[in-house]
Amino acid sequence: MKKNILSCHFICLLILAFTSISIAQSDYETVQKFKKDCEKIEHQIKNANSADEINLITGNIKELKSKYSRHSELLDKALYPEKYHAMIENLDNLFTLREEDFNTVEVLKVEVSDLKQRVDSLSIMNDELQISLNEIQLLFDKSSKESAELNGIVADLKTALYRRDMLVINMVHDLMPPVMREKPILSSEDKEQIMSDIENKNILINVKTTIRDNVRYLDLTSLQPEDISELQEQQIEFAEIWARIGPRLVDVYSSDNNRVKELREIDSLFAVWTASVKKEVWQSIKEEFTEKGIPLVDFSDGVEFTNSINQFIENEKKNIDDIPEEEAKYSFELFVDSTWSSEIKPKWASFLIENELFTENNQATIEENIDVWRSELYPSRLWIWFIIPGFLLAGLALLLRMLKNGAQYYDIPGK
Amino acid sequence: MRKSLLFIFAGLLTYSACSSLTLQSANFSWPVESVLPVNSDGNVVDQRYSIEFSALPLFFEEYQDSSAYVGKEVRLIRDQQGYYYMTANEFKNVYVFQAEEGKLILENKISISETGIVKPAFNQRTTYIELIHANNKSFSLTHQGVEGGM
Repeated sequence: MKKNILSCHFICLLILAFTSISIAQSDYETVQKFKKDCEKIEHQIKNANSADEINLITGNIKELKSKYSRHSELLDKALYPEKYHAMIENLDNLFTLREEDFNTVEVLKVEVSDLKQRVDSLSIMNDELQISLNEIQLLFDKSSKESAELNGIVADLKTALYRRDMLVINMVHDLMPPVMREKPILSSEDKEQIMSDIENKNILINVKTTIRDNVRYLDLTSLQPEDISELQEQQIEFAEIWARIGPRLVDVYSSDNNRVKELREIDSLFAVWTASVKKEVWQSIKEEFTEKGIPLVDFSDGVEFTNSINQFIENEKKNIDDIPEEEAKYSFELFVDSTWSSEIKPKWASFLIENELFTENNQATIEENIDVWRSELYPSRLWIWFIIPGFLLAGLALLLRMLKNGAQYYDIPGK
Repeated sequence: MRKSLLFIFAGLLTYSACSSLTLQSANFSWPVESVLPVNSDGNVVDQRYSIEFSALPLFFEEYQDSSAYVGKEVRLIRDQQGYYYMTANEFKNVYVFQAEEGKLILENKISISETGIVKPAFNQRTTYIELIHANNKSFSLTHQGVEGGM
């Protein structure tokens, strides 16, 4: 029991000692510490680098308030002209301002992050586009290269064909020199020589191959009039030689039905070749219209060509009232100015006429139709030049008549 | 009798003319002590309360050495009645002064510690000045001495 009482006394003494310690504190120190703490927090607020750091300072301000609120009276007096509450308020304001700054910074950071993401995605998109562009460029280069290669191949093919044609022509030509050709009847030696040459040099096969290749070349390519002229000359030359030699060869091979059949085949191949050249002409012309976006009905000779164009013009004329004027005029200009007058006529008309594929009458018909089409689109105002002078003359006559009548009115009777 | 009354009246007039105007309930107390460094000239300056004096005699009084002020700080507080209390670290006494024309006159020298007061500090209290020092011992001082004795 006594022990308990003693321990209670000891605790009381300790409490008293602690109280005395807390009481025995220098006011000056308190004031100085308060100032120092305020400065420290102010420094912390000013030097905070992030929203997290600034949030930590909230605790320090709260601690400052709880620590010094009981000294507020002393501090108010000691801090004169400052006040305890004013200093705390200053800290709060500084804190709020800084917090707002950080909030703004956070918002800006989010915006920057968002913008960065957008920039990144745009960069990725840009990279992808760049890659696509490069691929397209590669394709384009490849295409250009392929196109160039193709043009080269076509040119090589043309040269090779020409050379072989000439070679085969020479072979055929040499097969039966003009002296031999003029002989009404070939001797058996001549015939044997010819047959030997034909067999040794595979002339019949070479002729067939050459003609077929020329036909294929015409089918695969789109040619200009000058190219066609060149091919045509070659074809005509070859055909003429064959026309002279072919019948004699039939005579040579009269006892060999297979060879005769082969020779007939060559005759028909020449016909096909001739037709192919003509077909190529019309096909090339058709392609030129197609490239301009002008749909024409297929044609394979001059009459069909004229009809096809006239049909197109007729259709366009019929459509004038159904489509806008601008569209109708555009169609006219596209056909007449951009295609017929500037491309087809200067390039092909003379070629077609020279080769008797087309007549001047055909051309005139087309031109007449174009004029009618033009007159329907752009009606003439010529009648105005007749009407206006007519009116003027009538007016003048009327005026003269009135003046004459007026003069009669003022005549003095008897004078 | 008339002469006596005249003298009394004249005497009252003279008394009233000679007595100064007095404002009562003046409170001179400083809320908190000032801790003032002694400058190279031996002077102490308090900007807040606009007071300046030479501390040389104080240090001479304490240490019998007028150069002992070097690097020292004087702790100064004024009580409600207008007395100035001064001491410094390791002083044995607290000095109480009263202000007069251009000077501070020692009112009392209160002996506190034979070994010197370590880290003394004055606190303003309602009726007295509290002196505390490093071992947290506190004294209630008036211009007359320690309240309740040592």
